[in-house]
Amino acid sequence: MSARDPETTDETLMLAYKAGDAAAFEYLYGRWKGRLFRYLLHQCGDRARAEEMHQDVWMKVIGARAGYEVAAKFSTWLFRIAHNRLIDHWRASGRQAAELASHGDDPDDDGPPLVEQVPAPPDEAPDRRLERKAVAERLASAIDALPAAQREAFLMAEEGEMSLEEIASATGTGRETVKSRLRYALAKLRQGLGDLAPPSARTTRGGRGE
Amino acid sequence: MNSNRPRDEVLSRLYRDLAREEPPAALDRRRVVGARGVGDGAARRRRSWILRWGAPAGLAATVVLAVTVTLLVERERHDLLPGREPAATPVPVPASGSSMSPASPGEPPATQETGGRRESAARAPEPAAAPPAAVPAGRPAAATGGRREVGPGMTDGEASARRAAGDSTAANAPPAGDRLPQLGESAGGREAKAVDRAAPQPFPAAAPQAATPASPASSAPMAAPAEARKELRGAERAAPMPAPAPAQRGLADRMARDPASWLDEIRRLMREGREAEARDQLAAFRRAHPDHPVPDDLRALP
Repeated sequence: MSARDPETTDETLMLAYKAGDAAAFEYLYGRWKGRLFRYLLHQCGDRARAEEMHQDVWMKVIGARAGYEVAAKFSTWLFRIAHNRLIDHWRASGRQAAELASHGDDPDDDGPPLVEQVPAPPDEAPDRRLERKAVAERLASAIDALPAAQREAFLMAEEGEMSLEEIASATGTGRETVKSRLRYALAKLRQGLGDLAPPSARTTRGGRGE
Repeated sequence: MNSNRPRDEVLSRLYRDLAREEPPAALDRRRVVGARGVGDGAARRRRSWILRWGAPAGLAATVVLAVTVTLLVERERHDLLPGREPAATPVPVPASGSSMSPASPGEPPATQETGGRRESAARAPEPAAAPPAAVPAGRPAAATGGRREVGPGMTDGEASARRAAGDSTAANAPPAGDRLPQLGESAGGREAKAVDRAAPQPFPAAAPQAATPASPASSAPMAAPAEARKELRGAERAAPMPAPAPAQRGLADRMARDPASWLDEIRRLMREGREAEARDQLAAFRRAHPDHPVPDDLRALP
C-alpha cells in the first residue's frame, strides 16, 4: 500500500512519515489541513491567528513524529494538539481557558440567546438563490456565536468526524459532557439557521446513546 | 462509529457545502518544506556522523598500515641477510685522508680486498654476508640480499662462478663509473685485483674466504700487467668506502657458503686443471666444515 493510496489510514501515513517518508506526510497534510484550519479559525475567530496556530500544530506533529505511536486515531491526536494550542492562545490573550472547559454544558450559561448572537440575514425571506457567500457567512456567524466548548464539540464532530469518545479524549472531558455540548450546539444552530433548510429535510438523529 | 453522537444531517450538509476555508498555499508550502527538512535533517545527521568519524578512521587506518608495512619491510630486510650477525658492530671509518682505506696501511691485502670489493661488478665472487652495519649510507641494505647480476664486462664463466659461489656482492657494487675507467675494463685488470685479494690476510680465518672468490677469475691472473696491478691498488686505497671488519665478514662468508656449491666449485677447478687452487679450496673447505664428509673424488687431491 503506497502513501498515495486513498485507502491508506492516517495512522499508517504517520508511521510512514516517522520512518522518513516525507511524501506520506504531504498526503496526510493534504487530508487534514483544511479541516484543522477551519476548526482553528472558528475557534479563535482570527484568520491570522488561525494560520499561526495551524502552523504551530503541524510543527508539533512534525516534531512528535519520532515518538509517534498508534495509541488513538490520528484525528484524535491531531485535534488534541490543536485544542491544547488553543488553550495556550487563550491564556496568552487573557481569555479564560476555562471557557473551553466549562461553558456550554448548561444552556443558562450560554449567554445571550442564539437569535441575538447570529447576525440577522440581509433578507428575512429565505431565498433559494441566496448567494453562497451570504449563507456561508451566516453559518460561520452562527458557529462563531456558539459557546466555545459547544463550538469545539461541533467542529470536531463535523471536521474531524470524531465520535463522542474521541472528542472527549481530545478535549479531556467526559463523553456525556461532550454529548451534552453537541446537542446544545446543534439546537442553537438549528434555531439560528432554520430558515436555510426546509423542516422536512431536517433529520436529527440522536444515536443509540441518546 | 459516529452513530452514537447527536447529529443533524441538514446542518452537516450545509456546513460541509459552505465551509471552504483553507490555509494559504504559502503556508502549505512552508509546512511541506519543513516536513521535508526534518527528513533531510535526519539524513544530514547520518551524513555528519560519517563526516565526523570518517577522517579520523581513515587517518588511523593509514597509520596502522604504514606501521605494518614498515615492520614487514624491516623483518624482510633481516631475513634477506642470511649471514647477519646481530652483535656485529660497524668498523669505524676514518673520515679524513685521501687514501680512505678502512684498515691500517700496514695490512694492504685486506685493505685492497675491502676497497676493491665494490670497484667492479666483474670482480670475482664474494660472499654477501657482510654485516649490515658496514653497508654505506645511502645504499639500500636490502640490496645485499643476494641479487645477482652479470656486470659489464663480466664473462659468462665469471658470472656462473659467481652464481655457484652464492655471491651477491656484485649486486652491491655501486655504479663504478668513476673508477672503472681507472681500473680499465680489461679482464686483466680485474684479475690482477683478484690476485691481490688472494694474498695472505691478517685474519687467518678469513683468508680462505678471501681467496675463494678470486679463484674462478684467476685463469689468467699471472698475465696481468704489473702496472695495472699497481694502478688498481692505488685506486683501491683511494676508495672512500667503508669496509666491514675482515674477520666478521669472513665468518659471515663461511656461514653463508653452501658446502655443496663449494665442493662443486672445487670439482670445477679440478676439471679446469687448476689443481693448486682446488687444493687451497679443499683445505679451506675442511677448515670451514670439518664435520662435512669430503667426497671420494676430491680425496684424491693431495
